[in-house]
Amino acid sequence: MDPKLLRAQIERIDTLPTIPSVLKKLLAVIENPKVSLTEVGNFIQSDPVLTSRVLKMVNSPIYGFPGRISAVQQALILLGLNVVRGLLLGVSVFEVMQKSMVGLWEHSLGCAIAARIIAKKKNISEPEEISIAGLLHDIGKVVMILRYKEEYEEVIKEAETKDLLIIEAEKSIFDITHADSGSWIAKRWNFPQSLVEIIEYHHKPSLSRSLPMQTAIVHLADLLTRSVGFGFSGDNHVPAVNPAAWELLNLSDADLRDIFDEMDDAFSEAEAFLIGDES
Amino acid sequence: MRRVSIGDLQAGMVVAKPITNEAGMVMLSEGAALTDSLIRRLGSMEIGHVFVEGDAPDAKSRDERLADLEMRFRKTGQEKYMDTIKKVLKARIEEVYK
Ligand SMILES: [Fe+2]
Ligand SMILES: [Fe+2]
Repeated sequence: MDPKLLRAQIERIDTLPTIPSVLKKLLAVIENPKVSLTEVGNFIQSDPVLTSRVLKMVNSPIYGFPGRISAVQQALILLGLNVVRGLLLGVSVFEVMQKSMVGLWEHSLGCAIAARIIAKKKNISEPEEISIAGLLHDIGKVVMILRYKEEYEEVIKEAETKDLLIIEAEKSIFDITHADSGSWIAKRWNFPQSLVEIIEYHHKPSLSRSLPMQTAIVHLADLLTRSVGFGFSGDNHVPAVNPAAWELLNLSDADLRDIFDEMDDAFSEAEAFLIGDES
Repeated sequence: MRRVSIGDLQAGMVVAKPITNEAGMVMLSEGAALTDSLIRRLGSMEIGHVFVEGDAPDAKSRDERLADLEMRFRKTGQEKYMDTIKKVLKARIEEVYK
């Protein structure tokens, strides 16, 4: 398929009739880069389901804030506008994610958690932004499933029968990957350039120019989440780590053990939080 | 022996590995039975998890978990640095069942 045409179609995805109306309303708010914290806060609070989801996420092991955050405004101030916009997108696509690829939501949450843990280990400032990049790294899969349902089912079948990675099957059927479509849509929705870049290169982290460390972190977080078998990314085996990214992160065996320990703890907390979603 | 997050501890569980504080001092030794007040005190310390006796009710066996790991790494386990990641994961599984 022609990448230019694909890009144009994907960028108009919010006009699709199959997009849930909550997501449409939300996109109108989050794609405006000049939206104020108050406006976002009012929007969230106008919807009780959204309010409860946002508070759940903020209090989940994705962030690891001490104490309990019980007010939306407090969450907004703690996280900042860009992180909240990403979080909103994450919680709004979660239903689509759960329906389109069973386990993709868990995979995304797992990656968000792992990314925060690795970022903390590497003393990176603003680990919340990396968590959000982890949460949204595979958004391109959702976008492709929404826009090209049948073709994407073919991708999944092709990956299964030929024992390929999803990303390889995407390339063979679409000529583009979910990293491309994800970065296009993030850019189209006016997300920060840093998020666009991390999504674009999460499978080729050594190509990231301005954020090599952050991109390497999300790349590794994706891989470590798969390597412990948490969630389902569409692949039944773990892809190889990018050697340059691994060298850049420079983690010792002991570091890696610590990271897995923390992931274990956070994942068991997250599991409780995944099960009781709407309570 | 199994690894339990601090939030999932229950009174009556038996400590399977000494619990140490940040300074390395043993706070509770092997064989100690947990009580509600001990769990509360552990909760106020910088401890993420504790090893306790027994298997979780639906826990996979050591061999099942090792087989799952092999399956996940079947195509890339030999690649550069993947052997390190796999080795660390394998050691963690073996440690739990020792
Ligand atoms: Fe991906
Ligand atoms: Fe992924």
